[in-house]
Amino acid sequence: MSTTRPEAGTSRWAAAADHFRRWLDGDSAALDDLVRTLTPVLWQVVRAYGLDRHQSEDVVQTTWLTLVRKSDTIEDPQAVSSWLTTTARREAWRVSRRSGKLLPVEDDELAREADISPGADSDVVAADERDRLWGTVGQLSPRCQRLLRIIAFDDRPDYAGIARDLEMPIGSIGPTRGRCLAKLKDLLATNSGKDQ
Amino acid sequence: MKANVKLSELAEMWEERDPMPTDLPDRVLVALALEDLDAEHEMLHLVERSKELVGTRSVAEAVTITFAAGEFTVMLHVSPTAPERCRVDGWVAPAQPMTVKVVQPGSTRTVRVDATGRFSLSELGVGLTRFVLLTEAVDGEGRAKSFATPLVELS
Repeated sequence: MSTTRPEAGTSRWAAAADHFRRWLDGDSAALDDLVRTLTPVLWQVVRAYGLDRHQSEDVVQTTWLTLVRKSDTIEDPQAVSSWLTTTARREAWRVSRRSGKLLPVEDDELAREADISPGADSDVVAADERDRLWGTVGQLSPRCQRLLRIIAFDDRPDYAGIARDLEMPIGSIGPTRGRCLAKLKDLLATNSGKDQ
Repeated sequence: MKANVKLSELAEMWEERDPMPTDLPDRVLVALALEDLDAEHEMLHLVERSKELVGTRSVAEAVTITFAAGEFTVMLHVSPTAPERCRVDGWVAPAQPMTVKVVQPGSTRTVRVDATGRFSLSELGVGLTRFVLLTEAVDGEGRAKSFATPLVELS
Protein backbone atom coordinates (compact mmCIF):
# COMPACT_ATOMS: atom_id res chain seq x y z
CA MET A 1 0.00 0.00 0.00
CA SER A 2 1.44 3.34 -0.99
CA THR A 3 1.18 5.96 1.72
CA THR A 4 3.67 8.46 0.40
CA ARG A 5 3.06 8.86 -3.30
CA PRO A 6 0.82 11.88 -3.65
CA GLU A 7 -0.15 11.07 -7.25
CA ALA A 8 -1.90 8.12 -5.66
CA GLY A 9 -4.04 10.71 -3.92
CA THR A 10 -7.37 9.45 -5.16
CA SER A 11 -6.68 5.89 -4.11
CA ARG A 12 -5.39 7.17 -0.78
CA TRP A 13 -8.77 8.77 -0.03
CA ALA A 14 -10.56 5.65 -1.23
CA ALA A 15 -8.35 3.42 0.93
CA ALA A 16 -8.96 5.67 3.94
CA ALA A 17 -12.73 5.49 3.48
CA ASP A 18 -12.48 1.71 3.20
CA HIS A 19 -10.38 1.40 6.40
CA PHE A 20 -12.78 3.68 8.25
CA ARG A 21 -15.81 1.62 7.21
CA ARG A 22 -14.13 -1.58 8.31
CA TRP A 23 -13.31 0.03 11.66
CA LEU A 24 -16.90 1.18 12.12
CA ASP A 25 -17.93 -2.42 11.41
CA GLY A 26 -15.83 -3.58 14.34
CA ASP A 27 -12.50 -4.47 12.76
CA SER A 28 -10.13 -2.82 15.25
CA ALA A 29 -7.03 -3.44 13.11
CA ALA A 30 -8.52 -1.20 10.43
CA LEU A 31 -7.83 1.81 12.65
CA ASP A 32 -4.09 1.05 12.34
CA ASP A 33 -4.43 1.10 8.56
CA LEU A 34 -6.36 4.34 8.65
CA VAL A 35 -3.76 6.00 10.90
CA ARG A 36 -0.90 4.84 8.69
CA THR A 37 -2.65 5.99 5.53
CA LEU A 38 -3.62 9.49 6.63
CA THR A 39 -1.08 10.58 9.25
CA PRO A 40 1.40 11.69 6.53
CA VAL A 41 -1.36 13.85 5.02
CA LEU A 42 -2.36 15.38 8.35
CA TRP A 43 1.27 16.19 9.05
CA GLN A 44 1.48 18.19 5.81
CA VAL A 45 -1.75 20.05 6.49
CA VAL A 46 -0.66 20.98 10.01
CA ARG A 47 2.84 22.02 8.96
CA ALA A 48 1.28 24.48 6.50
CA TYR A 49 0.30 26.53 9.56
CA GLY A 50 3.90 27.23 10.54
CA LEU A 51 3.83 25.12 13.70
CA ASP A 52 7.09 23.62 14.91
CA ARG A 53 7.56 19.85 14.81
CA HIS A 54 6.51 19.21 18.41
CA GLN A 55 3.37 21.28 18.08
CA SER A 56 2.58 19.58 14.79
CA GLU A 57 2.87 16.10 16.32
CA ASP A 58 0.61 17.27 19.12
CA VAL A 59 -2.03 18.55 16.72
CA VAL A 60 -1.92 15.36 14.64
CA GLN A 61 -2.42 13.30 17.79
CA THR A 62 -5.30 15.44 18.99
CA THR A 63 -6.93 15.08 15.57
CA TRP A 64 -6.90 11.27 15.83
CA LEU A 65 -8.18 11.34 19.41
CA THR A 66 -11.02 13.55 18.22
CA LEU A 67 -11.83 11.06 15.46
CA VAL A 68 -12.19 8.08 17.79
CA ARG A 69 -14.27 10.13 20.20
CA LYS A 70 -16.54 11.66 17.60
CA SER A 71 -16.63 8.99 14.90
CA ASP A 72 -20.40 8.70 15.36
CA THR A 73 -20.82 12.29 14.16
CA ILE A 74 -19.31 11.53 10.76
CA GLU A 75 -22.34 11.05 8.58
CA ASP A 76 -20.57 10.04 5.40
CA PRO A 77 -17.71 7.53 5.88
CA GLN A 78 -16.55 8.38 2.37
CA ALA A 79 -15.73 11.85 3.68
CA VAL A 80 -13.52 10.68 6.56
CA SER A 81 -10.39 12.16 4.94
CA SER A 82 -11.84 15.62 4.61
CA TRP A 83 -13.33 15.37 8.10
CA LEU A 84 -9.83 14.66 9.43
CA THR A 85 -8.04 17.36 7.43
CA THR A 86 -10.69 19.89 8.47
CA THR A 87 -10.31 18.92 12.13
CA ALA A 88 -6.51 19.12 11.82
CA ARG A 89 -6.69 22.53 10.16
CA ARG A 90 -9.03 23.91 12.81
CA GLU A 91 -6.76 22.67 15.58
CA ALA A 92 -3.57 23.87 13.83
CA TRP A 93 -5.17 27.26 13.30
CA ARG A 94 -6.04 27.54 17.01
CA VAL A 95 -2.55 26.57 18.09
CA SER A 96 -0.89 28.91 15.59
CA ARG A 97 -3.12 31.73 16.79
CA ARG A 98 -2.25 31.06 20.41
CA SER A 99 1.48 30.95 19.84
CA GLY A 100 1.42 33.94 17.52
CA LYS A 101 2.85 31.93 14.66
CA LEU A 102 1.25 33.25 11.56
CA LEU A 103 4.37 33.06 9.44
CA PRO A 104 6.60 30.08 8.68
CA VAL A 105 8.81 29.23 11.64
CA GLU A 106 12.54 29.32 11.67
CA ASP A 107 13.18 25.64 11.15
CA ASP A 108 11.28 25.81 7.88
CA GLU A 109 13.64 28.49 6.68
CA LEU A 110 16.67 26.49 7.75
CA ALA A 111 15.41 23.32 6.12
CA ARG A 112 14.87 25.23 2.92
CA GLU A 113 18.48 26.29 2.76
CA ALA A 114 19.89 22.95 3.83
CA ASP A 115 21.60 20.82 1.24
CA ILE A 116 19.45 17.98 0.07
CA SER A 117 21.63 15.26 -1.37
CA PRO A 118 20.22 13.68 -4.50
CA GLY A 119 19.64 9.93 -4.61
CA ALA A 120 20.83 7.62 -7.38
CA ASP A 121 22.46 9.18 -10.46
CA SER A 122 19.38 8.71 -12.57
CA ASP A 123 17.51 10.86 -10.05
CA VAL A 124 19.90 13.78 -10.32
CA VAL A 125 17.94 15.61 -12.99
CA ALA A 126 14.68 15.06 -11.12
CA ALA A 127 16.30 16.13 -7.85
CA ASP A 128 17.62 19.23 -9.59
CA GLU A 129 14.16 20.17 -10.75
CA ARG A 130 12.81 19.45 -7.30
CA ASP A 131 15.45 21.71 -5.75
CA ARG A 132 14.46 24.49 -8.11
CA LEU A 133 10.77 23.99 -7.36
CA TRP A 134 11.43 23.97 -3.61
CA GLY A 135 13.51 27.14 -3.80
CA THR A 136 10.92 28.86 -5.95
CA VAL A 137 7.97 27.92 -3.74
CA GLY A 138 9.94 29.56 -0.92
CA GLN A 139 9.78 32.85 -2.83
CA LEU A 140 5.99 32.87 -2.78
CA SER A 141 4.21 34.82 -0.06
CA PRO A 142 3.61 32.85 3.15
CA ARG A 143 -0.11 33.04 2.43
CA CYS A 144 0.33 31.49 -1.04
CA GLN A 145 2.56 28.76 0.36
CA ARG A 146 0.04 27.93 3.03
CA LEU A 147 -2.94 27.94 0.70
CA LEU A 148 -1.27 25.72 -1.89
CA ARG A 149 -0.03 23.29 0.73
CA ILE A 150 -3.45 22.95 2.33
CA ILE A 151 -5.21 22.45 -0.99
CA ALA A 152 -2.57 20.03 -2.30
CA PHE A 153 -3.30 17.69 0.61
CA ASP A 154 -7.04 17.94 0.74
CA ASP A 155 -9.50 15.47 -0.67
CA ARG A 156 -12.37 17.95 -0.80
CA PRO A 157 -11.00 21.38 0.11
CA ASP A 158 -13.31 23.17 2.50
CA TYR A 159 -13.06 26.70 1.12
CA ALA A 160 -15.15 28.25 3.88
CA GLY A 161 -12.84 26.95 6.61
CA ILE A 162 -9.70 27.79 4.67
CA ALA A 163 -11.01 31.31 4.01
CA ARG A 164 -11.55 31.87 7.72
CA ASP A 165 -8.09 30.57 8.64
CA LEU A 166 -6.34 32.73 6.08
CA GLU A 167 -8.61 35.70 6.77
CA MET A 168 -9.74 35.87 3.18
CA PRO A 169 -13.25 36.13 1.70
CA ILE A 170 -14.57 32.72 0.61
CA GLY A 171 -15.03 33.86 -2.97
CA SER A 172 -11.38 34.81 -3.27
CA ILE A 173 -9.91 31.39 -2.44
CA GLY A 174 -10.31 29.98 -5.95
CA PRO A 175 -8.90 33.08 -7.69
CA THR A 176 -6.09 33.37 -5.13
CA ARG A 177 -5.14 29.75 -5.68
CA GLY A 178 -4.99 30.49 -9.41
CA ARG A 179 -2.90 33.62 -8.83
CA CYS A 180 -0.49 31.74 -6.54
CA LEU A 181 0.03 29.02 -9.15
CA ALA A 182 0.47 31.67 -11.88
CA LYS A 183 3.01 33.48 -9.72
CA LEU A 184 4.85 30.21 -9.19
CA LYS A 185 4.87 29.61 -12.93
CA ASP A 186 6.30 33.10 -13.55
CA LEU A 187 8.98 32.68 -10.93
CA LEU A 188 9.98 29.29 -12.35
CA ALA A 189 10.22 30.78 -15.82
CA THR A 190 12.31 33.70 -14.53
CA ASN A 191 14.58 31.47 -12.48
CA SER A 192 15.21 29.05 -15.31
CA GLY A 193 15.90 32.02 -17.63
CA LYS A 194 18.61 33.16 -15.23
CA ASP A 195 20.31 29.78 -15.33
CA GLN A 196 20.73 29.70 -19.09
CA MET B 1 12.07 23.42 -17.59
CA LYS B 2 8.34 23.30 -17.92
CA ALA B 3 6.70 26.07 -16.00
CA ASN B 4 3.31 24.56 -15.27
CA VAL B 5 3.19 22.99 -11.85
CA LYS B 6 0.49 20.62 -10.72
CA LEU B 7 -0.68 20.48 -7.13
CA SER B 8 0.29 16.81 -7.05
CA GLU B 9 3.90 17.76 -7.85
CA LEU B 10 3.83 20.28 -5.02
CA ALA B 11 2.42 17.66 -2.68
CA GLU B 12 5.19 15.28 -3.67
CA MET B 13 7.77 17.98 -3.06
CA TRP B 14 6.46 18.79 0.42
CA GLU B 15 6.32 15.12 1.39
CA GLU B 16 9.92 14.74 0.32
CA ARG B 17 11.29 17.94 1.88
CA ASP B 18 9.30 18.08 5.11
CA PRO B 19 8.26 14.50 5.86
CA MET B 20 6.53 13.53 9.07
CA PRO B 21 8.67 11.88 11.75
CA THR B 22 8.71 8.22 10.67
CA ASP B 23 7.47 7.00 14.06
CA LEU B 24 4.50 9.40 14.19
CA PRO B 25 1.85 6.80 13.19
CA ASP B 26 3.17 4.44 15.90
CA ARG B 27 2.99 7.21 18.48
CA VAL B 28 -0.55 8.04 17.42
CA LEU B 29 -1.53 4.38 17.82
CA VAL B 30 -0.04 4.26 21.32
CA ALA B 31 -1.96 7.43 22.18
CA LEU B 32 -5.19 5.88 20.90
CA ALA B 33 -4.51 2.69 22.87
CA LEU B 34 -3.99 4.71 26.07
CA GLU B 35 -7.11 6.76 25.52
CA ASP B 36 -9.93 6.02 27.92
CA LEU B 37 -12.90 6.54 25.66
CA ASP B 38 -15.37 6.53 28.53
CA ALA B 39 -13.73 9.52 30.18
CA GLU B 40 -14.62 13.02 29.09
CA HIS B 41 -11.26 14.70 29.26
CA GLU B 42 -10.65 18.24 28.30
CA MET B 43 -7.62 18.11 26.02
CA LEU B 44 -4.58 20.10 27.06
CA HIS B 45 -2.55 21.61 24.28
CA LEU B 46 1.17 21.95 24.02
CA VAL B 47 2.15 25.58 24.52
CA GLU B 48 5.88 25.37 24.83
CA ARG B 49 8.68 22.87 25.04
CA SER B 50 12.16 24.01 25.95
CA LYS B 51 15.40 22.25 26.72
CA GLU B 52 18.22 23.14 29.04
CA LEU B 53 21.54 21.46 29.69
CA VAL B 54 21.87 19.88 33.10
CA GLY B 55 25.28 20.95 34.35
CA THR B 56 28.04 21.89 31.98
CA ARG B 57 29.51 18.41 31.54
CA SER B 58 26.32 16.53 31.24
CA VAL B 59 24.87 15.57 27.90
CA ALA B 60 21.53 14.85 29.49
CA GLU B 61 18.95 17.54 29.00
CA ALA B 62 16.11 18.63 31.18
CA VAL B 63 12.94 19.63 29.39
CA THR B 64 10.17 21.96 30.44
CA ILE B 65 6.84 21.29 28.78
CA THR B 66 3.83 23.56 29.23
CA PHE B 67 0.26 22.58 28.41
CA ALA B 68 -2.89 24.63 28.63
CA ALA B 69 -6.64 24.45 28.16
CA GLY B 70 -8.39 27.78 28.59
CA GLU B 71 -7.32 29.25 31.93
CA PHE B 72 -5.83 26.00 33.17
CA THR B 73 -2.09 25.45 32.77
CA VAL B 74 0.26 22.65 33.73
CA MET B 75 4.01 22.91 33.52
CA LEU B 76 6.17 19.78 33.62
CA HIS B 77 9.88 19.89 34.32
CA VAL B 78 11.41 16.59 33.29
CA SER B 79 14.98 15.83 34.31
CA PRO B 80 16.91 12.64 33.64
CA THR B 81 18.10 10.92 36.83
CA ALA B 82 19.44 7.52 35.84
CA PRO B 83 19.51 5.53 32.60
CA GLU B 84 15.91 5.14 31.44
CA ARG B 85 14.68 7.02 34.52
CA CYS B 86 13.55 10.58 35.06
CA ARG B 87 12.03 12.89 37.61
CA VAL B 88 9.01 15.05 36.86
CA ASP B 89 8.24 18.22 38.79
CA GLY B 90 4.85 19.61 37.91
CA TRP B 91 3.01 22.79 38.67
CA VAL B 92 -0.63 23.51 37.95
CA ALA B 93 -2.24 26.92 37.76
CA PRO B 94 -4.57 27.99 39.15
CA ALA B 95 -3.44 25.94 42.18
CA GLN B 96 -6.19 23.55 43.29
CA PRO B 97 -6.54 20.11 44.84
CA MET B 98 -6.06 17.58 42.07
CA THR B 99 -4.98 14.04 41.40
CA VAL B 100 -2.50 13.37 38.62
CA LYS B 101 -2.55 10.05 36.81
CA VAL B 102 0.59 9.23 34.87
CA VAL B 103 -0.30 6.73 32.18
CA GLN B 104 2.40 4.76 30.41
CA PRO B 105 2.03 1.61 28.31
CA GLY B 106 1.55 -1.11 30.90
CA SER B 107 1.50 1.06 34.03
CA THR B 108 -0.28 3.92 35.75
CA ARG B 109 0.97 5.97 38.70
CA THR B 110 -1.02 8.44 40.75
CA VAL B 111 0.15 11.45 42.71
CA ARG B 112 -1.57 14.31 44.56
CA VAL B 113 -1.12 17.98 43.80
CA ASP B 114 -0.28 19.96 46.97
CA ALA B 115 -1.88 23.21 48.13
CA THR B 116 0.61 25.32 46.17
CA GLY B 117 -0.23 23.50 42.96
CA ARG B 118 2.91 21.38 42.85
CA PHE B 119 3.51 17.67 42.44
CA SER B 120 6.50 15.51 41.75
CA LEU B 121 7.29 12.00 40.62
CA SER B 122 10.68 10.42 40.98
CA GLU B 123 11.99 7.24 39.42
CA LEU B 124 9.60 7.46 36.53
CA GLY B 125 10.36 5.31 33.50
CA VAL B 126 11.13 7.15 30.27
CA GLY B 127 9.06 6.74 27.13
CA LEU B 128 5.64 7.66 25.87
CA THR B 129 3.54 9.06 28.67
CA ARG B 130 0.22 10.74 29.13
CA PHE B 131 -0.80 12.88 32.10
CA VAL B 132 -4.41 12.97 33.22
CA LEU B 133 -5.31 15.60 35.85
CA LEU B 134 -8.54 15.29 37.81
CA THR B 135 -10.09 18.06 39.86
CA GLU B 136 -12.00 17.26 43.03
CA ALA B 137 -15.77 17.27 42.78
CA VAL B 138 -17.07 20.80 42.58
CA ASP B 139 -19.45 21.77 45.44
CA GLY B 140 -23.08 21.48 44.56
CA GLU B 141 -22.48 20.25 41.06
CA GLY B 142 -20.72 17.15 42.31
CA ARG B 143 -18.85 16.77 39.06
CA ALA B 144 -15.10 16.53 38.78
CA LYS B 145 -13.32 17.79 35.71
CA SER B 146 -10.44 16.06 34.05
CA PHE B 147 -7.72 17.35 31.79
CA ALA B 148 -5.46 15.16 29.67
CA THR B 149 -2.23 15.93 27.88
CA PRO B 150 -1.43 14.43 24.52
CA LEU B 151 1.17 11.70 24.56
CA VAL B 152 4.59 13.08 25.44
CA GLU B 153 7.97 11.44 25.17
CA LEU B 154 9.81 11.54 28.49
CA SER B 155 13.55 11.08 28.19
